[in-house]
Amino acid sequence: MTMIINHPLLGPRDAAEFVYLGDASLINRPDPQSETAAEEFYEYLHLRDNNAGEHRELWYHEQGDRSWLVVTRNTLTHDITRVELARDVASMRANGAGAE
Amino acid sequence: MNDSNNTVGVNRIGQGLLASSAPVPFIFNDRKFHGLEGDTLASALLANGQRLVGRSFKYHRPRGIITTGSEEPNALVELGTGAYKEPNTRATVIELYKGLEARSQNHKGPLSFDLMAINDHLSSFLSAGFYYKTFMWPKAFWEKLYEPMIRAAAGLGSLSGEEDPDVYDKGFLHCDLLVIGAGASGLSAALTAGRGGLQVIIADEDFLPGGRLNFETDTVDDQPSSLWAANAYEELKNMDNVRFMTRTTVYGAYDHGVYGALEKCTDHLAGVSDLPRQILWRIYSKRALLAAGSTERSIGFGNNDRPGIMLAGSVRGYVNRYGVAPGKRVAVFTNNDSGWRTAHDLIDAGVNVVAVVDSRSISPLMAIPGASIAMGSQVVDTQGRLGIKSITLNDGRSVPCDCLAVSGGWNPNVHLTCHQRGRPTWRSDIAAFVPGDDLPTGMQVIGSASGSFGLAERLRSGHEAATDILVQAGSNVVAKRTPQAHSIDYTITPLWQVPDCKGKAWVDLQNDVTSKDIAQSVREGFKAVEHLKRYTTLGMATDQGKTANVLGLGILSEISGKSIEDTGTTIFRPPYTPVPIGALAGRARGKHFRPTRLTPSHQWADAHGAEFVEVGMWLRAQWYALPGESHWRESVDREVTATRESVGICDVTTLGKIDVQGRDAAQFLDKVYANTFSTLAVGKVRYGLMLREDGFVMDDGTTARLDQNHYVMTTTTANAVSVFRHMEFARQCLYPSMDVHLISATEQWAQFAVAGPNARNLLSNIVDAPFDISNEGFPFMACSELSVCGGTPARLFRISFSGELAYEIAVPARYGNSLMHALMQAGKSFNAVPYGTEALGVMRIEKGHAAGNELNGQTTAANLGLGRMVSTKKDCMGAVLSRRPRMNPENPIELVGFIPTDGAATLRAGAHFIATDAEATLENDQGWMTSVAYSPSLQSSIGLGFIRDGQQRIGETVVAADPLRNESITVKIVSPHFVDPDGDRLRV
Amino acid sequence: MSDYTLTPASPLNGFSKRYGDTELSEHPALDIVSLATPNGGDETLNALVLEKVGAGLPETGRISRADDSSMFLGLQPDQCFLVSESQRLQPALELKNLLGDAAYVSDQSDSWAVLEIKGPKAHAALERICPIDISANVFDEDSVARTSMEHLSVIIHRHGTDGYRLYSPRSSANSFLHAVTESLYNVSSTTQG
Repeated sequence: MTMIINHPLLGPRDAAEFVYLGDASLINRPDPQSETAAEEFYEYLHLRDNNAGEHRELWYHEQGDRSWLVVTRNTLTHDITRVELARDVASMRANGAGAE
Repeated sequence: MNDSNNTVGVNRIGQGLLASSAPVPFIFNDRKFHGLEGDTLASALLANGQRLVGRSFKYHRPRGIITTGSEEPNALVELGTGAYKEPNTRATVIELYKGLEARSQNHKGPLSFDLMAINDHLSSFLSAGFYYKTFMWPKAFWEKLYEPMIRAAAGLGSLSGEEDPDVYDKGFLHCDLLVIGAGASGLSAALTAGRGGLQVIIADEDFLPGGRLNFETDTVDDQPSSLWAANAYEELKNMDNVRFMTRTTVYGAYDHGVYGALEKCTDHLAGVSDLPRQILWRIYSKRALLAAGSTERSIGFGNNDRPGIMLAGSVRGYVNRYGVAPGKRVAVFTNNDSGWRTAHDLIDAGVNVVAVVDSRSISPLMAIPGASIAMGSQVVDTQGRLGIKSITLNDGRSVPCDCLAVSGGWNPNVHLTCHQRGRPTWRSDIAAFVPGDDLPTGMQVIGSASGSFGLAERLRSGHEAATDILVQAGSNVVAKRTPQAHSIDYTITPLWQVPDCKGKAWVDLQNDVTSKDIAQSVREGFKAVEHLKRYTTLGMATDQGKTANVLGLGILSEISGKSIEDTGTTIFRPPYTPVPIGALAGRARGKHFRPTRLTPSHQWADAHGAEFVEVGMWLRAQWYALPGESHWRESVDREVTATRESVGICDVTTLGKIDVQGRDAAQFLDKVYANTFSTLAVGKVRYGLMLREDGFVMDDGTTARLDQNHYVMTTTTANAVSVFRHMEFARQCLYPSMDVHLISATEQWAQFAVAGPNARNLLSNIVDAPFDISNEGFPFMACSELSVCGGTPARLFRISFSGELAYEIAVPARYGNSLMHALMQAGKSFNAVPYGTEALGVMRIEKGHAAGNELNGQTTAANLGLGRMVSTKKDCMGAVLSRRPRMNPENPIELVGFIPTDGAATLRAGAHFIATDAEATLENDQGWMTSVAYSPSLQSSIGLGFIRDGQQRIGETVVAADPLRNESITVKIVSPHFVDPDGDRLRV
Repeated sequence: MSDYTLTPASPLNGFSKRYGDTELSEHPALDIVSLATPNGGDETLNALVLEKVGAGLPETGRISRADDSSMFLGLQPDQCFLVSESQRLQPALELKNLLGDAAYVSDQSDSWAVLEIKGPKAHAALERICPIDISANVFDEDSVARTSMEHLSVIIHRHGTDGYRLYSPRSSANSFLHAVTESLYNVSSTTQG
């Protein structure tokens, strides 16, 4: 019923302030120029790992600072072990560090 | 009305902890009684010798009060009258107040002669699984006969059927430490934590803090335990960092340290209040200490449910706290030391103890002159129809008594430890389940809830747990010493069920489950504990089996020959005690269920005959009825006609507005829109189409370029929030290196559409010189910042949803109502009309513009006839997947217009298109009608819809079939642009 | 030339009411301008606002004050509000002229209804609707938060020791006012602590 997300800038906030999107791999938008772009986009959008354990997922702080967050949550225990600004994760990916 | 003459009560033997001896009158079953301030309804009834308080759920057995607390399975009563009627309240937790009115439940005729008590004699037919087996056949009988019959005979009180007139509230609390329960361990913990400076919330369901300290005659720090509790309460109440919540039940443990609590604010007060009756709190805690105490359980023996048979700890509890002796000749039946404590306290209080029956073959724990002491013995049966009169021992002896105090042992209240699927573990030394290791995050269990029953240990566990938390928080430990007390020994030899008992042995009194039902359940294969619960209903209903569960498990393990560890236990779910639906709803009732958004011209509209419609949270003017107009169509047709002939004004503020700025704003818009915006000139507006990444259309709107790096986007009203979210996702997660910044401007600007051939003429009265509003100076799809009405800053957009010469004009929202007024004044000579959402809808259908019905998340740009807008020169969100072959078939479903061949027919949205000679089947389905309207311009019903290969089929005739309404209308496929197909009117 | 002049209306018609010693009132129109920092332009903008406004850019969740009448509310990364007691005709335009390309500005003055709640029951009243902890020990005078109360977006910061300022969207201002007045009514009784 409830969930607390420890926002990296604002501290603990009730999940009611957030909107859930889905797997954090949605940050990894494929290259539209790729020869196999259609297949890659299909996989990007529709194929998901269904982890029993750590899961990285996107939450949007709509009733807060409007940050998109990458929340690492254990699907077995519901424990949240890490919360990052999605923008930082995305920038690292853009800089070649990889988002995983 | 019969009055009880005795204002003290026949069973009142002292004052206990009650503060005052002033009598409090109350009514039970139309009879007037008196209790004392500080009584519960239960203690007041017992004080007056009222042992019989209700009838049981299934068999209508006479029942009395069993306990002193929220675990009570039996003494359920109905409170209040009329709409205030509340069933199933436990007499043991109802604080007595002047004028309280209560009634017993679940009987026909008087309580002492229940007509339904026949069920008791039929009980051999009504055992476990009876309903499942007996009422299965014939099937049709279930709804018509069996169920109503069962409902009438069984049940737990009745509802008023009226709206709950009480007020409820909710709220949010935060703390470093939540202490659940204010008994010995809870108070001890709160004192230590509070003195150390932590932000503490301590909550207890009782109105008198202290827990068992108030029911026992213990000593803490050389004070009577109840006095120590009162002093602790006083100290804690006065600490700024401690919030002491009495009458507050923490009913649920949720994720990440969040707890639900119900505070009862006015239930104990006489009269009607307009203040919240109860408050539902959400408590955010860093740490929590569960100090929920323990609950006594009974023993299975014959006819162990008669009024006057009570739990032993409760019997002495009534004596010690309320000065009430539940009987004059009390017998005790126990398998542990606790029963002896009851005998001791009763004798101390001068109550006659007639027998102590201990199932253990040990030496008596004390000598009681004049009492039958039977060691290694059992009670096998009891007598007395409406209240116990005597007990029968296993050796055949009969002992007369009017109260039997039973103790089968104590169960730690582990409930909240299970709310995150924690499993309790069995401790055979105390014959009880204790909390397992898998506790909710941040929770620790102290006191008897953890299985430490000795008072010294309970006090110490609270102090030590709080000390640990203080140390971890880096706070000072001020209280170095734990409160001192002596622990009284507690030993137990489990006895679940008396062998060879006569009559039925009741296990779950609330659900009328007997030991025979458990045996039958096992015989029929429902051996697993979870199956047993469902098959027999053991442990269900309002008490959630607080007194019954472990007893039932003990009996199950004996019958099945398995140990209790191997038998396992059902676990508990929230709520710990019942929470009224009204409290869960809180304030969210009626029109306050959700917020209402008003447009800037709401006041003007309200004063000018507007009929309002809910659009999401918005209230928008749907049409403006003039005096004499009796049908909405009259108003709407007039508004459309007047707009198309001269000029109309509509508040369009609800459209989402997003301010987009940055060096990369243009490139960013190229990513989120299917078409290109980097090529848009400053001072121009363009229609934009937004796709989801899967290639389907997400939203549309117009976007204006105010400056090189500054755009203002509009979204549909419905998608304003989701489009903003989508764009923030694109900005932060997909294109983090782009310099682009978003802020919603929906609320900032009041925006009005001014549409019709006289729109420019009207606006020329509004805009300030020297702004050139001429067609040359400000052509179709132009935009500009300017000022209006003598200096008010404004924005003007030459865009049209109606298909007419039209503008949208925006001013800061504070001027919106005034601008509406000014526009109407300026339009007076043109007979300007205000128009609402209906006329807006009619005109957009006449013009063939897609809206929500067409942009339903299942349609593509190609479907909408906008396929060419998806740029092939650039990438955008949705571009790649919009090119999937199946989304671009040879003959796509396309948006076109429809008119009935019979001009008088009325089209229906939702109808499906079928060839004229075909049957209306799924195989023959060619598309569907999305939007319809009566067009005053064409004087015909018109529609928009999607049909296979529509653009190629203009002029063809098909049937619009609506099997739901049993209608079939022949329609002609036409251009979706019913009015001004070439757009000449827009550009004049 | 226009024959008409427009008159402004405040979102709550200047609402003001006392509940015992606690007062709830609509704050008269404030100038509220959002400033977004261009990527990589933090230092430039910070130096500029220090010079021109008299305060530096706040961190998210914090307030930086220029003087008694102006403050920056740090609402999200790279974006803050400048709130001033003044009532300029075009506050965003004036700020734009002051800061040039160093910030992206947008007028928000008409987007919000501003309520002030002040007095001994202010905190207790807000406990009924505000999900975040606004006690003095964790939410000081320089704290600001955007959260949701009764399904409505609300910006909250402390205003004096026993007061708060609440910004809520203009269109739903009446619903928000109802939420706050009901809270105040519910806690202003003697039967509750």
